[in-house]
Amino acid sequence: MSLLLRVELILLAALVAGIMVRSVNRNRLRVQYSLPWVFVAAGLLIVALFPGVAFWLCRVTGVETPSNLVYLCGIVILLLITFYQTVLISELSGRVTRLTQCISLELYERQEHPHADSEP
Amino acid sequence: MKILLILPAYNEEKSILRTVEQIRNAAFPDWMKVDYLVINDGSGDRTGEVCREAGIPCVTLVQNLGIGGAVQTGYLYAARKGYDTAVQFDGDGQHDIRSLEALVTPIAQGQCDFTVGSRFVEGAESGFQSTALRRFGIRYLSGLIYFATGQRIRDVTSGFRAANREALAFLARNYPVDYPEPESLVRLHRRRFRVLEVPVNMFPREAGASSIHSLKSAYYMLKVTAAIVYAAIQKEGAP
Repeated sequence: MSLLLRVELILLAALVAGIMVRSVNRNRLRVQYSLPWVFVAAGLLIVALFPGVAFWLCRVTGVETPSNLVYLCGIVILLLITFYQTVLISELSGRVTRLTQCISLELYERQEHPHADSEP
Repeated sequence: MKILLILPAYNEEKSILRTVEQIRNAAFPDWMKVDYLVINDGSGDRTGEVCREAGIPCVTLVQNLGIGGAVQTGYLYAARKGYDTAVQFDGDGQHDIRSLEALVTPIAQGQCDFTVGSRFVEGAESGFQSTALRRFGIRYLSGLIYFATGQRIRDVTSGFRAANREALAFLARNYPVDYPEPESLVRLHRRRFRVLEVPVNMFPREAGASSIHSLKSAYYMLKVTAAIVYAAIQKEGAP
């Protein structure tokens, strides 16, 4: 693994970590959703500092070069994160549907029985 | 028996009045106490205003939810208000109110938990049978549902359906969003609800467009197929 790639990986890890910290502190991102990305940054850092880990993983998995392994891992992690997000979106749309139904029914009841609140 | 007719309506300003007139003018036997509720699914036209002016009970959804979310709102209302039976009845005038008694009688007699009003079973006055292509699609879905449940239901996309107290409570909690009729049949079956097909009459559509468009129908079939397969794989009795 070339020195240049290692430096690039470290910079990338720092960039990801920096963006996460900034986003969480500005309330644009919840801590729980930042964690997958923090793990990605940590993984990049480990590979950059200890290339031996990457070489060992290559031997174990049969991937030819460590850089390929890094790309492979990147793709797999992105797919996992995307899947996690589609699960979140599905949950959210279920909640939005239920909220819409409850609010709409509530508005209907008020319109039908406008003085229901004042009755004993 | 307290019955709630759920009328989902999306841009039905032209036909909703006539549909409700049909219900208001219908004569029911004494044991049937029929209420109705229009679910205006965030229509862009004057469906909501038309209902208000005519004094028709109408829930206007603050956002468009699609047919599944709209119908479920009706089931939710029926569950909260303690109705014995909830009946889906299209706001576009396709369904014949005179068939209502036939549809709810098996439920009142405890023969089954859920009935599907069908154009295709024996005894249906075949006033309206739909186009050849659509009939082919319905046959395919019917075969798929037979494969998934072991029960032969012919008019699987029928939106004229009735649920008893337990089934409507289940549907209030759990109703598919996109094109819900075929999928919900499998889900009901997995929950061991007894589903029965009942002959009814239907009319050709008066106004408004079908929720199934020809261009999208191939993708529709794919989605419904996936939905049915998922539902079929689900463990029996699971939520």
